[in-house]
Amino acid sequence: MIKWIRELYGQYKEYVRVDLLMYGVLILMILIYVVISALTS
Amino acid sequence: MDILLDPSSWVALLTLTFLEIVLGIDNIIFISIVSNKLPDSQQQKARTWGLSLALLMRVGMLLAITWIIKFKEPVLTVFETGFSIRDIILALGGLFLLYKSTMEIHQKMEGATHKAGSSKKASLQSVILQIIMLDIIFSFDSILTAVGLTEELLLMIIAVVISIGVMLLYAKKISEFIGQHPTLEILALSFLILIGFMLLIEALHYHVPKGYIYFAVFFSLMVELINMRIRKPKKPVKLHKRIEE
Repeated sequence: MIKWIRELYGQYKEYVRVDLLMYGVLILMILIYVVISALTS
Repeated sequence: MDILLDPSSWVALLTLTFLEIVLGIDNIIFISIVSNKLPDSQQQKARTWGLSLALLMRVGMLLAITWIIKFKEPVLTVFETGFSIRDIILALGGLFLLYKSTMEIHQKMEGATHKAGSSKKASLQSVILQIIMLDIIFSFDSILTAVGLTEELLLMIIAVVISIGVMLLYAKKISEFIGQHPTLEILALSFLILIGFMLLIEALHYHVPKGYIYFAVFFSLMVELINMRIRKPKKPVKLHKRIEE
């Protein structure tokens, strides 16, 4: 599965890089929120 | 359901559906390249399943992003102004829309069109999975556009369902129509710049009534529709695609 995803990424990386970066940021934001909520509660 | 009785909701729905369709047509090219790895008899099936499942994922993403932007407690302070997770996402989303639309306009006017590589044969499941993944990745800007245009989740979902339905049924016709009227595509990208800027200033705690955006979009589209009516059709410029078969 990982090999398949890597192949797919290699094929389309030029078109999807920035979008994937934004997804990464979004996931990071959720993690930050979860951590902050856990620490403050 | 009361929101459907409000005329401004219909304006929001029309604007959002227009943008989702015009901007989504580009993604159809990728989907078509992926589905061409299958025998003719399976291609339509792969497109229908892929886009239908991608629709569910998009609705899931809309639910997720509307949930995340409810986090309004400040987590970061810059120059004595508190910024919440919502503000950070709106700011980055706004910048992303500004970047993406500018890059798209550049690509369409001055960029090179890449040829898709030789298509290896693939299984139906693998092609459906590829369509879903590509659609999810490419739908990030459309999700942000929805968030920028309306606060009503129901309207966002209806617009996404209509646009994917229209693309499944009339992708070829719409693609031909936009090929004859490329101004519509450039206008749609310009509207993304407007929406990106609006998200950015909302992140800085300036509230912009959405009606201003609807007015700008509709006024501009009306001018273009009159253009299309009264001017003699000439051979339009051919916008560059990112990729072609």
